[in-house]
Amino acid sequence: MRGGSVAGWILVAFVLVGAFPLVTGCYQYLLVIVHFTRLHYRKCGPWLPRTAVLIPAWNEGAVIGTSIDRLMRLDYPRDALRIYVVDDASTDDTPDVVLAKAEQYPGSVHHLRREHGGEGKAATLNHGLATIMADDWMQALLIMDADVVYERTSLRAMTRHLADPRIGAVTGYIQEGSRPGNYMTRFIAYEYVTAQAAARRAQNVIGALACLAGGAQLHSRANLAAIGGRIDTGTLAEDTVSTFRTQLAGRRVLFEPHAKVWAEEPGSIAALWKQRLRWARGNVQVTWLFRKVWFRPARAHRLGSISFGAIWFSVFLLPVTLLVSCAALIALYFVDNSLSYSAFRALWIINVITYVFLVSYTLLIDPQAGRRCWRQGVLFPGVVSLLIMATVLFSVQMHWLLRIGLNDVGLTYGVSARQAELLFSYVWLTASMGVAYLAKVVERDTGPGRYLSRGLLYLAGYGSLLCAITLAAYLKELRHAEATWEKTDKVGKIGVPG
Amino acid sequence: MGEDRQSRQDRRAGLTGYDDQAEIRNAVSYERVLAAKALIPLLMVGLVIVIFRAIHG
Repeated sequence: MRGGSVAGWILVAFVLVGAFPLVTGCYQYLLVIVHFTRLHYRKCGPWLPRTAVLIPAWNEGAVIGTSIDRLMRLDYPRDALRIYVVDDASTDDTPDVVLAKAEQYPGSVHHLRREHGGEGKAATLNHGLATIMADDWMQALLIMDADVVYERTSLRAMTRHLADPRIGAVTGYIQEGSRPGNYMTRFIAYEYVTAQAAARRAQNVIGALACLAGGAQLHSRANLAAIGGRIDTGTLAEDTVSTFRTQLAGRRVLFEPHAKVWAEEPGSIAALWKQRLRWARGNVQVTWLFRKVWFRPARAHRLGSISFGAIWFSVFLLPVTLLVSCAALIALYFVDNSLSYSAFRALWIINVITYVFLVSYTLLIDPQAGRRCWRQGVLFPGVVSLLIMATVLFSVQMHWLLRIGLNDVGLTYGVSARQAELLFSYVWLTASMGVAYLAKVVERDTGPGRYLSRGLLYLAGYGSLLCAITLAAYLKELRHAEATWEKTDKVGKIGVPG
Repeated sequence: MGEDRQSRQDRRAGLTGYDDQAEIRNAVSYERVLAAKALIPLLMVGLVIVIFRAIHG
């Protein structure tokens, strides 16, 4: 080893920290391949338990009536289904709509009113749970959001798993359902294939689920009793806490990919930021709350397995890994320029391989979603990152193009231009988070801001936006900022058959 | 859960085209096809590696 290169190789190790989320992403997708070997169907039964559907609702007048109608059209025995809408002191026509539906479906729809609301979703759910648990009619509880739409067979696809008493809870496959939608909802649609259809299949294989989707969580009565009969109110991620507590109590949680549920998702960066900041802050709280679980394998559950911990922290620490990797690259640039380029190239080759594998498999996992959002899938890392990947792969050709481009505007591609290009590439993974944040800042409903923010987001990438939100969540939690429940506005845009 | 078999069968009888076993067969088949589909992205990764090696030696 050359003199002075020890520091260089330590920095290379830090650069390659940036590959941790990429390798973990590939690992998850490799688990998807073997999902068919770990299916739970052999232990299922045609089980149609008496199911209470619990819907928290605050000012959901625009969507709640349709949701109730769709629930009543589910292919599920009418006498085994009761809907409880917990109206969290709504100020719109939610009570009138629900009461009208209670008259239309006597005995099936129940309106529960909280006169003093605004305490968050968990408190609203607990109000309904107290009523539902008070008698022994309910055998299973489905918690859903007011706007989500279940496909006709989805509920019974979930309940059949509860025939196995070792299963405590089941979640469905949430898909983005806004129609006609826009670029943002299509990014989310793509993200949901990766984060739900793929990641949750992988978690089925591992035997530990990270989160029951808030809009589609089915619990057995025994499981609810085992976790205290209440939903946690101490964090912003009550669904994740229920998921963890179920597994820590010794029951399994399953993802049923064939129980499809459609949800209306944010159509703007600002709305997405608000929603995801809440989720990300919830994840920070959950990571701390269950700090004694991580990387401590146990007989009763798989939450402490190395695989599950690696997957959880690869997402949770994503902004940190990017910052560390970029900082190490810059330091290496000044310590050993040639080694810095080798480390950079290695990191981005892993990036290219991950990108090709993940994007192509994602589009095949859910071809219906893939047809709708393939452009957003291809552009998910952002245009600049794609150019860096192309430069790493086709270095000579890309630099030839760059030279021609610069010559056309009267500039030359000399040593200083080359160094500037390298430094830009080195810091991009971190800088992209700043550009994504800028896209949020300049966003407007109309005029140039609308196109500018969209252009910036395509440059930075949707992934960078999610990283920026996670970073903002760290900062909010470090500052102990007030944790308020801010509901995502829903207007009833779901346009899929339910 | 304390319910007799007859009651469960009555509930199922009220559903349209309910065939639990057929639904499960379809789901299992989908998962197997999904595994087979992984060959395509794996081949694409192989292609990228071949191209990279061809260019960079």
